[in-house]
Amino acid sequence: MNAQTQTECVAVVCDRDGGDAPAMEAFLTAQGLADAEWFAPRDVDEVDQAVCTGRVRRVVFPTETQLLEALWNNEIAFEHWLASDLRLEFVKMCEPTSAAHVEAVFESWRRWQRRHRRRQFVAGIILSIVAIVAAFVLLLIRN
Amino acid sequence: MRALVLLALVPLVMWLTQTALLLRAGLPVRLRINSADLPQRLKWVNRVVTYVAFATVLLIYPPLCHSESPLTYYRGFFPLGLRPLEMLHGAAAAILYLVLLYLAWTISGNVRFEVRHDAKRLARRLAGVPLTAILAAFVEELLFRAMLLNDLLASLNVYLAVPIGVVVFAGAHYVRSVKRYWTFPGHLALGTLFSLAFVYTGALWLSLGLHAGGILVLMAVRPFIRYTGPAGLVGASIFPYAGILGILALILLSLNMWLSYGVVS
Repeated sequence: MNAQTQTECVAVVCDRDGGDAPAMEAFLTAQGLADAEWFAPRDVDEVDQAVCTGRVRRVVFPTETQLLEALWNNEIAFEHWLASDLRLEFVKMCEPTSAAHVEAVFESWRRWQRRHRRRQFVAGIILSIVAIVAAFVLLLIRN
Repeated sequence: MRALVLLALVPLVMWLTQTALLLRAGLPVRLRINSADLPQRLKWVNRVVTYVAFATVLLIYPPLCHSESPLTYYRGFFPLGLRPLEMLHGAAAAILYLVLLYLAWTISGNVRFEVRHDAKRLARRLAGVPLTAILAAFVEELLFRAMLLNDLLASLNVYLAVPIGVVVFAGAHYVRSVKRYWTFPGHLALGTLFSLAFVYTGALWLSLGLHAGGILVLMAVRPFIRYTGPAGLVGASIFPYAGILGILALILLSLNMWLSYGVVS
């Protein structure tokens, strides 16, 4: 590792086998960032740690959607990202001043809420069933 | 007290093995037991030596201190008849408490559910959970209750033996370098629950059930859960019992066990 990559370690948040990977690779090659460290979107909390400790100074997402998902999931301390001199980049992004950008943020939030509600519902049902069975066994044995 | 000495030899063996492996790998020797930077193959050797050390302690304690075969000695802690039902009782109680905690945190938004692995890896992990839960609980109960606590109870009164047994049990989880140390009070509460279950029943069924039921839920839920609440309150990772509410739940569960088995009518 040379001196420059040590001071500016680049993290890529993208699934290596996902649909965004070819565009990401093309972007990294064009930017001369072939040594960038890849993280799966589910490991974005590791990127957050690396950013907060100053190990990573540049983060690349395929689109803004992955960053928004991480924000909704509370997986990153974005205030630290904003306060640091982090360089945040997207391979593809809507024009920040366009209505399409607002729509993309809204759609991301709506999708996240729907998924979150569904997961919490399923988890709640399963946990409730387990609790009921455990309570039944407990009472059965004590009688 | 001889059990305590035998148990204390395990970390020594672990450290000596680690030192030998570090030297072999050309890495600097260190005081902490932490095999993180060892090559994978040597890590595996390290793990096997640790398991063998624990198994040796378990096997040599009965003939050495009680002039009994391991089978005869440990079988004494598993009385038959209706007593095995205590294991089911313990498991159901532990599962109920933990699931209620998770339900409360789900409702209050302190945890979030998501599948954290691909389907194949998830199926592999979940398939191994019941066996791992029973095996891990079985070995720990033999070591810390049937061997250590029973040995302490033979030479000390219960008010001294239980706290010593609990501290050793909790401390054993921190012999290796671990990610979190704030979970220690949770391990103390957990050790108290298992130790009291053993003292009240004079057998391992109940503590084994509580222990295995707990591990079962923790490991089954782990691939699906992310903690979003304050760790000190709701715990983290596989330590939901280490937050303040988890410790409170363990105290109440211990009280339940006392009411069920400890109060002589």
